[in-house]
Amino acid sequence: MFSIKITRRQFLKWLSASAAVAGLSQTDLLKLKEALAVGPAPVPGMPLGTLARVVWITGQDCGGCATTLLNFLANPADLDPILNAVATTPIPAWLTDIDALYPQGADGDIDIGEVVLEIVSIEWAYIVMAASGDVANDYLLSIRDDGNYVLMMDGAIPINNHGKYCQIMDVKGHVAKAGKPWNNYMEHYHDDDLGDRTQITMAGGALWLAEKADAVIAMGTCNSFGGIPAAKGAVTGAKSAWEVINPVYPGLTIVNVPGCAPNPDWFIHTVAAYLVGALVPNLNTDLDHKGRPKNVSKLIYNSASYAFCEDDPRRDIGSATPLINCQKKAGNEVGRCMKQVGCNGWMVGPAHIRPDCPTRKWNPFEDHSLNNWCVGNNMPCQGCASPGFPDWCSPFYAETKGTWRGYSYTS
Amino acid sequence: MGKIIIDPVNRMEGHIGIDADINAVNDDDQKGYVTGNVKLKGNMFRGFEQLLKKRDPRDAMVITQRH
Repeated sequence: MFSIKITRRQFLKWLSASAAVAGLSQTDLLKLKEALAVGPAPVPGMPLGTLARVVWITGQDCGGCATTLLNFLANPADLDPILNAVATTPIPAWLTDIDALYPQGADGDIDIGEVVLEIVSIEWAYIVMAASGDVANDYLLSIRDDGNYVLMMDGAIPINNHGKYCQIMDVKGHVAKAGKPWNNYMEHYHDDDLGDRTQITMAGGALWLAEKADAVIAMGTCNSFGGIPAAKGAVTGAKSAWEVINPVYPGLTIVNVPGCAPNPDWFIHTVAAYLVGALVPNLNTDLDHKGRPKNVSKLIYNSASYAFCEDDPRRDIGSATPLINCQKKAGNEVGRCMKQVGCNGWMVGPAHIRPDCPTRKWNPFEDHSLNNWCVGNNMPCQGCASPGFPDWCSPFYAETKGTWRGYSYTS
Repeated sequence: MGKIIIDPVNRMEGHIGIDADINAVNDDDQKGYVTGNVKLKGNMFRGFEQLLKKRDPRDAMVITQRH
């Protein structure tokens, strides 16, 4: 596995530098330091502390969510995107004590692979794990018996035809029990050689694993809101994690990390929030327009004060000759707003989720100035992190409607 | 006679399962060969063709890139 070498200090510094964006308080950062201090023990015999165990199951996905995360973890051409982010982000003065607490080289280096394997322990994820078949599934059964894990999902959850449009595993034994909510989405059968077995669909697996999960992270727009598989014309009955799990387990925290695909930083920030115990959204205030909890960070998603467009975004809304410098970055001397060809960056309504793509950008290179995002490359923003994606902005290359299913996107 | 079920298959994108019936072969020449019925299953369906119906043709660029 390729890995990006960063030190513990650098990881903390990176998180600290973007703490405001992640919505972490200073207290949270201190807790994070403690969590990291006992995490990947640099000294033999040092207690490992509590790992955030993650079970990652995949529904109707395209692989984009997995790719974006693995791209962050394992990019051999890019040695230190985190350091680049640190170097270009002002660090608050009160964080200078981190240098004293964790001097470089004195605390043992960790790389981002260790962050994932030891601080966050991804216990089961078919796209990265080494085992397959019953070896992995037996381990999953034992994890579920133990409880204390975070259920992470990507891809939508189809529920038509007993969920059989997406089957995620075939495990030993009879998993369903009378009266359980996932019974409808699993099929028992008996094999003469292998004995009793259960075919588990995505809907069944989501409910089955959610029963004992501490929290649910819905990765990507599909699992957060339905996304492409739930678009108009779909026949599979694709649903979001909130729609499937919340009616059955109403108290369970479900954190959406929308985006198609989401920026890996957003996921890492969510994990950091979990480590410090901040992954408990206030269900009274942190709801989106359909009652779904937003990400821990209001600044990553949907900040009221956030300017999406690269220039002043709102002065030209509705005017005939918008003068936003969107395409200026691509080499044009005078930019043109792409609103009339379907850009959704100007949308300001509460139902439209605007991530921090313009400032965070994507695909970190050694030269930070090469980072880019869709609009910077003359591509109209597709609104891919919004609940209504893709239908509300379809057709994509025509001006987006101001309303969608009764929700206004302009106020 | 024996049977192997591998579901999920790891480290690849896509939901794949394998059902293999294995016949033990005593013939020395064929020892170790897997003979019998092996089924490779694709376990996931989204219906992109249905999603694209009645849409602007240019939408296909945005939708099918998520396939």
